[in-house]
Amino acid sequence: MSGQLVARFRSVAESGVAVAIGIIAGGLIMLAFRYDPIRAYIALFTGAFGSVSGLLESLAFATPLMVSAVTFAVGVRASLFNIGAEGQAYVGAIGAIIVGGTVLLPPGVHPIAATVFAMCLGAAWALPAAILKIWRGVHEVVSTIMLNWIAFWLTTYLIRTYLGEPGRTERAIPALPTARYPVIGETLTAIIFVTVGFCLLVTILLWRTGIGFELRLVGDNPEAAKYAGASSSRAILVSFLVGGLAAGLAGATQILGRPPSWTLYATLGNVLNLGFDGIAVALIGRNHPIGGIFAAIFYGGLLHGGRFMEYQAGVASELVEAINGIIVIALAIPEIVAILRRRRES
Amino acid sequence: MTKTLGILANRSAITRIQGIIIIAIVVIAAAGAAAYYFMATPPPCPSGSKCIAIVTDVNGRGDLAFNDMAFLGGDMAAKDFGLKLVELISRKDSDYVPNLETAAKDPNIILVVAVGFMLADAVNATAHKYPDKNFMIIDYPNLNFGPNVMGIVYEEHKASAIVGAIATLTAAYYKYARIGVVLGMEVPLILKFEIGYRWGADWALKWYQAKFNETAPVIGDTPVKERVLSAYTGSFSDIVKGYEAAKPMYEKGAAVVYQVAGQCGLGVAQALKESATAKGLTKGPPFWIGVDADQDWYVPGFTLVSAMKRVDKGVYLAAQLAVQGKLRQVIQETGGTVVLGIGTTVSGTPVEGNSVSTMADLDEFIQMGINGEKLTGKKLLPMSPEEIKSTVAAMRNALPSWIWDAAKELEEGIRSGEIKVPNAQMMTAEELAQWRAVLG
Amino acid sequence: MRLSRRLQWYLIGIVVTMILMYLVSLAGLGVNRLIETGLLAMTPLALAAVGECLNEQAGTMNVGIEGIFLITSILGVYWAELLGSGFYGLLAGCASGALVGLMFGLICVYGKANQVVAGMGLNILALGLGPYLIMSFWAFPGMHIFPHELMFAPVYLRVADQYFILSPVTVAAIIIPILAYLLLTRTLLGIRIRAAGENPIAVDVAGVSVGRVRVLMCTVGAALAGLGGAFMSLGWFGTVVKEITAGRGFIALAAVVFSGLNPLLALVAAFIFGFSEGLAFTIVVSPGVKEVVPFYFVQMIPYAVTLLILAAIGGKRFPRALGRPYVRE
Repeated sequence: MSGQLVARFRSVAESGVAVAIGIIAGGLIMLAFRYDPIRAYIALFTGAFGSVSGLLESLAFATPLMVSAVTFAVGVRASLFNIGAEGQAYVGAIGAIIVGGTVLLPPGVHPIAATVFAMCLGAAWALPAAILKIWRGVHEVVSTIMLNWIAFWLTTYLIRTYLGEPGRTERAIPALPTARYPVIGETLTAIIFVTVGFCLLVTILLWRTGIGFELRLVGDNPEAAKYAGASSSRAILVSFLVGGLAAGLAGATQILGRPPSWTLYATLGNVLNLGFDGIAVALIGRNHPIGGIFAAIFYGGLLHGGRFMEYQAGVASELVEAINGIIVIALAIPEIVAILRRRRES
Repeated sequence: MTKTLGILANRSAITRIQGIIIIAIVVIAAAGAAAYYFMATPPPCPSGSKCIAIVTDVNGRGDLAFNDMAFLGGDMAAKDFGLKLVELISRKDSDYVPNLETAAKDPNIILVVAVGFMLADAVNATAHKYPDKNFMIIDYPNLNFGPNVMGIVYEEHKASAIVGAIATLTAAYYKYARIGVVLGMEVPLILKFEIGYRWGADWALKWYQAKFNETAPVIGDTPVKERVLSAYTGSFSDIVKGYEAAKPMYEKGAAVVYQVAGQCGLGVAQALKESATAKGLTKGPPFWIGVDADQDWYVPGFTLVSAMKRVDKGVYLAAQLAVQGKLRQVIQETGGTVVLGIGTTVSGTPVEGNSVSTMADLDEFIQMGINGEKLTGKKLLPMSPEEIKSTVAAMRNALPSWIWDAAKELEEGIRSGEIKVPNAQMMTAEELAQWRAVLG
Repeated sequence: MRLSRRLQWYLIGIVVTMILMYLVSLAGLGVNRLIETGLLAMTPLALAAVGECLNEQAGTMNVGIEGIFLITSILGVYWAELLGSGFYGLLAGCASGALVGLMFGLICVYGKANQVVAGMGLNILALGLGPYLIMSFWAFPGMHIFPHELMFAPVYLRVADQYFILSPVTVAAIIIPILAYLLLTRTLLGIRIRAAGENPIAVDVAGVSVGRVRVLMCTVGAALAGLGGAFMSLGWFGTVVKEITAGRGFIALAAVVFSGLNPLLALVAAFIFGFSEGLAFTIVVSPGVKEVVPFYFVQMIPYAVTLLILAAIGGKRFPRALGRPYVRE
């Protein structure tokens, strides 16, 4: 028992070290360009976490990220490089608009139905990549990138034609008031409970069910999995489907759970990069759904706090993104050390 | 406690180095927190000064057009009225509300400028939340956003119509079969440009017929659907797509391509430059038409005109009114939306918002280029100011005067209200389809 | 590497494309320009894809191509301005890419980092650092137009009254994959590279340092990507814009996977992508098409076609030790 605790502590400590390295490196870059790193970081952290409204907003940014992180993480657990969260999130958002904006349902049922439909569409969009992988051995990197782009064009088409809001065609039909999740504060809504719950469910799936065990086994050690009778096809399918559900949920959060627009713009601005950022969050969270929650909060804080860095210290907010990148790179190093140490110990 | 530490140490849960690093971080963090309390961090808008905040949309600066013009206006207003300019760049849609709120919370900011229609919902929400703050949004009307929001819209369709006419007549003069337009994203605002441009082409052909008693050569004979080539790139920033969209247009004999696509426009210009270099030309045809800012200096001799949209004037006007304390009054008078275009007025004073670039405009922008070069020490203009001016002048003079006369006639007709150009921003899908059927 | 079956399919694909092009020219769509655009768009993709093929054959996977493109397109211009010539700018872009690749290789091989993680981190870093650099180098956000003389301009070939724009970098982008293929299949170094990816123990036993081979390929791969990035700004557009890459690094990655790590096939894949993107826009402005097919679907063509081809051909097995740092047990 304490071994597990130690391992988990080690994991957190390693992430902590990586984050620290990233922050220090970012500070050095700021110094190189003659900015004041301390003032900038203070602005960043107090802006993102130092006030109630800041914290709420950071959580609002974190909400979709924790689930789009699951897409990548659950892929990695099955030894897949699933970067299809982008496209699956777009499609999920469309699903949320369809049920949330065009269908009339009683309040209470409406948000749930819309969320479920969005998740199903996300999973459906993950299917082609899964099928191509299982039956034709097509590497998911290519198939998911292609599907992402196809989803982009399909979604913009639907927004401009069938789902456009009459009179304000730069956006789609907004989610009806009955479909919206209650607002907690700033732009945070109760949908965060759904996303956190989803992460918990995925954790249970991965570590407490047979299917989850099979998935992880196939990912960790394909030969042993074969001997144990685990089906790699099933594991791949489950991984993609769970990932699709997660990404669909991420897309839905921006429609059903994000004021003030409650809809998709023709530019797809509020769902763009959810998948890409989700990958970074998954990596910071060490590919664990619970870790992803904390990583998402941290990353959300970085995304929200970046504006204060610019506003108060004059540092370009692109640098925040650069710092994120350094953190992720710094994270790359300890992870392998951890795996090797585990191998040596076993 | 010691037992846990003992277990941890024994299991080498964390290596010594990692432990040292963690401790170092904690120390630095503590020092930072302490510094925070003892250090006086000057806020971006120090009390005692007045500031305007400009919040951009996700496209941000660097398009040589729309967003840059907004900042230009802000800079000028800051200089003239003794204000400080604060900027908040949005990187994703979800940044709009936090950015607007950050600006709204600052007591020294007298005006929050939202650059672009994408911020409409965010402005609506934030303006209701902060009724004491003044807001201004560009390219969007005030639809019940509140008495503290001024929406400034422009008449891009009218300017596009005029350049469409100029383009068509130029094509007729040089005996080309078509003209083209490369647009960014297919959103209602950009539709205004497309439909206006097509309408202008149509008007020009009718004008030619009436004036010269014959159909305009070559382009007049091209079937309607092939006369004005258009393509949406789906992005305001992918320069490669702009290039790929414009190239087939020039290849198919488009005399002029109008760019309505932000940075993609640079791609359009590149396609033009290649075509020109291949044929050894130093001035058009073929041409391109710039948008928003005066872009005549960019490819001198090949930029026919620019369809200017004086976003800078809009920002300047709003800032001026805010400083004078008259903003709310004007909002009330106009119903919240100010239209800046051709022949428009604000509170009785004529304020123009759209125009077709003239040599005077070119002077103005060249001067800004020179100032920019002095400021940064880097070369911005492609050739010396005199060369630019003479090249552009030579190109304009090579065109027959009746082209410019026609443009003038159209402009005056629009100004007097006699001629009405369709405005596609608020059209329904059916109306749009109808216009597209008629105009190609 | 089993070339024949895949090559068969690709040759069929090329013949089909040629027939299509003939039909296209009958419809008045200007084949010259299409091929031109296709070649120009192909160049950065092909260079990066070949580099990554070499890289992955040796066993390291660099998904940070997108980031390298952006950084080198900016640094290339910076150095071109400093050194006064577009050619030196291209070299500098190449060198910057090599430097990034070297660091990446060291982190992955000797730091035993997770390569995917590090690559994604590189992308994120570059996407933030890029616009930041533009602002700090040239005090203008988001873009920079540099003097025309500094461009490494393409050459305008003329035959009678026809012209064709070709960049020397494109020619390099065609020759390099051929050289890479020969390197991998006919030289000792090539065998070692492939062994480093497939069976690193054998390489170690033969007395060659696996780490050194992999770091070398990382550097070379990133250098080629750097050349591609610098080409976009110095050799094609004459400006630097903050979004000059727009996801093309990932398309290059897709081309690598698509080609099964064969440099020649990667070249062909890159051309198919570049060509179909240009074709999409040409179709959009063709008479009669716009009413029938909304342009959104035309834009989907390159991606849908790739998926179909992939579904038909199927995947290929990757080197066994790809992505795994080599540890001498």
